[in-house]
Amino acid sequence: MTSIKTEQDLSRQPRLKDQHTPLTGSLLGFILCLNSSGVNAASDSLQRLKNFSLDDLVAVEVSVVGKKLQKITDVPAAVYSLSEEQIKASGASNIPDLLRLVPGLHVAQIDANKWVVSSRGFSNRITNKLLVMIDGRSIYSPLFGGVTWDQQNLMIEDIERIEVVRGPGGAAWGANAVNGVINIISKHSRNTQGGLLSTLVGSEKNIVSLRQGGQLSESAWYRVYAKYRQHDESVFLDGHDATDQWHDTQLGFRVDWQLGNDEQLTLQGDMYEGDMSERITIPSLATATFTDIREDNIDVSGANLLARWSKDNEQGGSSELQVYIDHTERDQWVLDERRDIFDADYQYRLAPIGQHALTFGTGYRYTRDSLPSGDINIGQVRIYTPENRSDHLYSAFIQDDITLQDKHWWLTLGTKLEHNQYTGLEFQPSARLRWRPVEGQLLWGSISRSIRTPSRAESDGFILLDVISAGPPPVALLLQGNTDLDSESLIAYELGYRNQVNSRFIFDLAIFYQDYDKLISFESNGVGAPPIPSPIAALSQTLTLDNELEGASYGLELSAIWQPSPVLSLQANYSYLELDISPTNAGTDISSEQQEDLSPKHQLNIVSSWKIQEKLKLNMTARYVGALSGSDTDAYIELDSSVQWQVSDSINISLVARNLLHDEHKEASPAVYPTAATQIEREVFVKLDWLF
Amino acid sequence: MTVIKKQQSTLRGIKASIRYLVMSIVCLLPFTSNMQAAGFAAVEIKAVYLLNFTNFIHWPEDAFDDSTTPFNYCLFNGANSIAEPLAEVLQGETVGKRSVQFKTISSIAAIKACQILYIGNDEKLNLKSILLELAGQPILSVSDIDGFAARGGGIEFATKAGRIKLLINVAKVDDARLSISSKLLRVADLLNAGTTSGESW
Repeated sequence: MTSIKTEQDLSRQPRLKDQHTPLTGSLLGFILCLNSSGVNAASDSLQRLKNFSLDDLVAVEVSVVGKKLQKITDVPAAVYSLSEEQIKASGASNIPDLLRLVPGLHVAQIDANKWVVSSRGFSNRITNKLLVMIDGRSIYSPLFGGVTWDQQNLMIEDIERIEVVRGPGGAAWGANAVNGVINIISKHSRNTQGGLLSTLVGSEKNIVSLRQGGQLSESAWYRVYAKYRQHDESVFLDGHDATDQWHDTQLGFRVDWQLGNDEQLTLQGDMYEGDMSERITIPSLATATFTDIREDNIDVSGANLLARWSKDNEQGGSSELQVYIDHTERDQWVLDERRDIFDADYQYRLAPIGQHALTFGTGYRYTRDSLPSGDINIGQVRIYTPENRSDHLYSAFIQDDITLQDKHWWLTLGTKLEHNQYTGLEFQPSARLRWRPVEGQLLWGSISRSIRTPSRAESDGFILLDVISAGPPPVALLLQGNTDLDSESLIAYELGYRNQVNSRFIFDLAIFYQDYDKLISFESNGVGAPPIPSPIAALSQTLTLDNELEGASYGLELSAIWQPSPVLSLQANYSYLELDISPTNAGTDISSEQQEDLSPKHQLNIVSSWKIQEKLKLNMTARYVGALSGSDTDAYIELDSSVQWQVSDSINISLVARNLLHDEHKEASPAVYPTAATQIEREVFVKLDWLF
Repeated sequence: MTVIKKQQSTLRGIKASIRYLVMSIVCLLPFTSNMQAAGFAAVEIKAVYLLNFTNFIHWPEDAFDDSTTPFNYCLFNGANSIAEPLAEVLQGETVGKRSVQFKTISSIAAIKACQILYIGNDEKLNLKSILLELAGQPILSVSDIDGFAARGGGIEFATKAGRIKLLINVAKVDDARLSISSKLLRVADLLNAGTTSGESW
């Protein structure tokens, strides 16, 4: 299920209780939170401050420079939190670009409006093993799995932090959190008071956003915002424009009430509309080359509304209720989807009893969709049976965090139980042991099971994949969903070690072995007469989806942060991944081995943040991404740089250059979907933020 | 040919961008002139606030064992990043005739000897028990935990529009028998201020 569950309170507890405080405050704390604060308790600035009057103090602005490595604490999972300061310093202007900074994640841009974001392999336009949420609202697509990143347009300035868990999160978050969970958390509206006008102009895009925050009463705060962005097209390898320009608009609001001493209520919502283009190469029986090139328009729109209530009780327990509705529409060549989701989620945490801290949860989700078939007469072969479908999902969750030895040993046992209409009852348990030998160090290990339920398309879809023109007659390759699919399942074994060596050096290492079973395969049913009308004489071969692939991966993720001086901080992230996929004894799908090589084996990021002066900062990121031999993409090194100049209390100007090393480079090929891959160009932009 | 085309379009884009930017800057210029820039780390500002509180808040005499008892600043717990700047700010300071002592504590039992107790964000989940222990004690509790004042704390540091604002729960401070100067109340946002007049001075 979707909303955040408290596996180790990674997210939910602290987030609900306190929307804008980093996870450091949670029961088990958090790690690697880079907070603005002065390690550099520079004596002179303190002496200056001491001479300030009270009125001066109230007016003085908090600097957002000087990252500090905070105490490493105790989450027994491969977690990372991207802080507000990192977000601002990076100069990134969209969510996928921000996620490039997270150790272990692979981010690749396909064309001007499409991205791949994956964790621990299976990088694909349909990265269906990663669950992504915005403020607890799932943006994972029930239609095909994965996330339509082009439909996510929240204000970057209003993001409080992005929490990422690599590896399975099914015990807490439910199905589809197989290889990771991303939760994007927006700021409490109390922290976005006043106005902000942000204008970005650049070689590839222009963005303007306006936000106004205020107070409704002594204990209620609000903000409203509007954002428009417009992107230029990228280029093809031959230098031609890729006709993938796009623009979108989003409006939204958030209201936070402090209902009582221990009671909070949040209401938030967004609506958006976007218009994108892409060039697609579609299989066709009507042309001599058996392919047809189309300029496709993608129309997207949607609206959502979420309410979240939380209350702490006197004994130290807490209850939380979250309810949301989400409507999305997406119309393009390969799909025409309208979807409504209703999701309710309740969680109750008991006050600790002896060594035990118990959490219970329950949830319900309703989704209904409409997926009209394409026009077969123009070769648009996409048929969903049934065309309209509604599903109910029920879930329950229990977790016990057991203190084995006070301050040193803990064991967390938990499981999610889910009933869905595709595969029935699913069980996703997890056991996590953690040991803190001394303050500042943590060693953890876990065994957990996660599953991915079949998507609507995998269950009910039927599409024309390709036309093979080897000899007359041509053969139409068709992909047929399978309503009897099982869930893909994973058992993961993880070990991790974190050490805050001193206040200036900290590192975090995770190693994993992941054993996949029942991965989706394409099984051929042989060649026969086409099941759909064909304009010419043709045969067809139907590939039916089955669960006849298995696989295993192992690898490591390492992140180290070093602050050699108060004005300079360096972070290095390295990840290594080995993935092996093969058909089972009963399976025949040998082409899916290609999936092994859709993610880079090696990735390295080095980020340096240098505070040149009090008001001037330079952030540089060098990225190495290994080759994707499964999608014909070379390894590349790129460099991003961002200069932030705090002109005055209310004006900040940043100058950002991305992909400095090459005029253009390719990051991924779209698999399955017929979008033409393009070259991602160097870009330069200037951003002006005005607080009023 | 295609390269030229691309360069031209890039150039066009840059030109348009520059025009747009210049316009933005020109439009904004009138607003920027009067603003002075500053920029201190949040923990530094909070530390100086904590020092200044003693100028605007009065503790009852029975808050101290005798006239030589030092004025105790306590930090719960020492891992908080304010420790370093706070220790530095308090260095050599006095409150009236009392010397100032700064200590970090990690157990609730130790708070009774404090006059100002700063509760770090890490202690958020212990907040309830800490506040329970504080009830009625002549101790000023301060924290940047979100909702601290509303949950029964004394003074909350709330970050608003890049500034540290004070949110004072007047009833709680009154309960602790501390009197706050109107000067401090004036610059702060107040919670539960209606119930008692307070002993403003």
